[in-house]
Amino acid sequence: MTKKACEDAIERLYPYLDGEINSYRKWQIRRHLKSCSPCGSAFSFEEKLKVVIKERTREDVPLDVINRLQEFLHSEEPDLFGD
Amino acid sequence: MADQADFERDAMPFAPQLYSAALRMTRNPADAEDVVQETFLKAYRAYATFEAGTNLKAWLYRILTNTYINRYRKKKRRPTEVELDEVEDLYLYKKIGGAARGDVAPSAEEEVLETFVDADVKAAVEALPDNFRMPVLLADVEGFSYKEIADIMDVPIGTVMSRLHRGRKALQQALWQFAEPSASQPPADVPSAAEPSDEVHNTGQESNSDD
Repeated sequence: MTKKACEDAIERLYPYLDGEINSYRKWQIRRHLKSCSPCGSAFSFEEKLKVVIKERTREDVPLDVINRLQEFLHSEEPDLFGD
Repeated sequence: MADQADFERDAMPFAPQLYSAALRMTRNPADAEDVVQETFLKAYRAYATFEAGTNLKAWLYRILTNTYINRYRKKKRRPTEVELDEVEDLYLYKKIGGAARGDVAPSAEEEVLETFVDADVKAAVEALPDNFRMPVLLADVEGFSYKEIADIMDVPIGTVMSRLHRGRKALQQALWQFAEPSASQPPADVPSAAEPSDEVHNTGQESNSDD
């Protein structure tokens, strides 16, 4: 695999993973990844990392927080909740 | 035009997500709660200007982001633009591969990711400067498109892309620092001895800078 082809692929790594490239570019990158295992495993790693970041930064919201939010909004804007 | 009467039904389901994002922005629960409360109050009051049927989630995040930035910049007079070191592409992948090379299968890099704990990932995200943390949060955690992030942050798409690119590389560097997989795992089954509590002596050194 030419170095240039790898550079082109890596340059579009994030737009590719984010689904922000056109279908022709996507096809080009997929074709490259199939034939170039170093780029294939690098892309696969980055894809997984993206999932890890999403899954491990989520917080469960304490019910208290939601209750206090509703109380706060109701005190500021009595029309907002109920009646 | 949206009807204020529908606000609760339409907007409240986003409260947990907004709170989670606010925590990553403010880095503490009390500030996150304040920012979310202010966001919802502003959103309710402006709800008549929201065009029903358009992107409510992005609209709420825009208010959240502005609320956070306004408060934060008032509170701490930090320079608005913090620059990042130049970090090479595939930083983490190369680091992990380099650390594990020799005795492992090619997919070992991905397996190492499984060992990263939530606290380390959160700390790494929170270590990023604001203008890089926001696009990373909005893209990777909230799943917004580049166009949506540009609208939320009120910057051109090109700026979103370059900040996202650099922010992600900086995040990888921070992750490596926080969660560096050590070659030799510490024994996990040894019960930790009761730690002698170190008394912290507050010397009362507070810089009396200008108020």
